Amino acid sequence: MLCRMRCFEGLLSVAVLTASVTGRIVVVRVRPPYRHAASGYDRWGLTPGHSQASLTSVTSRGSGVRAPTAHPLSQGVTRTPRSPRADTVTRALAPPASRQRQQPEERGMTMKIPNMRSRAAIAVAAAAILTTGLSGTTSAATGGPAPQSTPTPPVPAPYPDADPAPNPDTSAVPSAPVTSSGPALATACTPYVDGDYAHRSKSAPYYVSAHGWWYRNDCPNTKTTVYIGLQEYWSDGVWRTQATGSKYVYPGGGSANRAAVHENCDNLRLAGWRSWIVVYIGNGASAYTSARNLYCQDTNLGT
Amino acid sequence: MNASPAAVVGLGAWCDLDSAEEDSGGGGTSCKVHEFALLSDGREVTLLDDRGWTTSAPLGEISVTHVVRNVYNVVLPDNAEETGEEHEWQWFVQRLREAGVTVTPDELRALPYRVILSDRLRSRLGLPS
Repeated sequence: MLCRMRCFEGLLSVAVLTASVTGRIVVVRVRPPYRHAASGYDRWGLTPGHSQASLTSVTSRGSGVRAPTAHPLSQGVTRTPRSPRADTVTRALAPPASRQRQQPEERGMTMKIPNMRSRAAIAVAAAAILTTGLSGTTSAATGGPAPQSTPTPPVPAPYPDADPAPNPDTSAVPSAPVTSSGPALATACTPYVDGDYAHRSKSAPYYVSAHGWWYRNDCPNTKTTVYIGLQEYWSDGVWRTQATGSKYVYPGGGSANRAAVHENCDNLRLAGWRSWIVVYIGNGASAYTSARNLYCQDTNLGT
Repeated sequence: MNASPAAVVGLGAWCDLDSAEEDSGGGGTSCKVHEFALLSDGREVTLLDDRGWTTSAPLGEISVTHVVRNVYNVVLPDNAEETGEEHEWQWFVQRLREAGVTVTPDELRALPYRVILSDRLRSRLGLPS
């Protein structure tokens, strides 16, 4: 009996959790079109002083068949990533700590169920909520019904937490030459990383590209490696890294001091794109750029 | 009565905080950027409107120099490493032609270029309006 009750509690918890997650994630903000402020112009007259440089190394990865989709929050949240690799389905459904703390209350509710027939009825309802929730969110992501045989997690994509310390996955980003115990001058410094919004080429051959650079802030004016990854949003709610690049550069950016990455378009349908940028000098820094919906899909399954 | 055809008198980039990023409280700063041409008849032609940048620096810590340099960084052509060009001149010529203005890349290169920050961004940077 105890086992039955606990199993049942678990099912209800999953149902409640799914409904909560679903309700939170399917909200899609519709943004007004871009407007130009007619006033407030300023005249700076600064010159960029960019110079020529060698090409940045760029690698592509991934193969597969799943079709990416436009990210419904294309101009959405940008957070400092905990890890720049693709977010997983498991992570998308994992309850945050605050939700885990609510479980005792939910457990108390389940204990009030009077008899086995009622429990069975609620179990069926919970299963229905689970199934409906997953299907419904898939529709929100793809604009059409989800296949019954392959339920997908809620969308849009779960953005990474805003933890400041970068911890990139080593399969996507090479080992960094500098750690927290790096060069004496850079040990305690805090750099910034910067990147442009992913954008598509204006003419054929069509590709999406992005660039990353770093600012020294209180770090020494020395070279460090900027790592960049180009991510595409997929209908299962996962950002997948489609290409990576890196370059050993001085701070400040410009054509000579930026890492570049690009990925060719397999077709010109809409998909969500963003990039991550990481540096390790001093305390390190990382960021995801704002996601953009671009008319370009890379249909190869990234990492 | 025949008005002379409009000519390009200046180029620039306009930068404003990305509202979505600002609302998110994600810790960094993001700005939208678009490039434009000012014509002699007062019109403004948008040349590039898909650019922007994100930095890990919080808005309260970012400097004006940082902002302006980022604007110049994001308008660089993808092949700037090879060409040394600072703007998408050929694309600009095409966009201006569509707007009825005939101009060459060399003529565009000779024009003044300004970076303009929105009132909202200036305010957040502590600059006077």
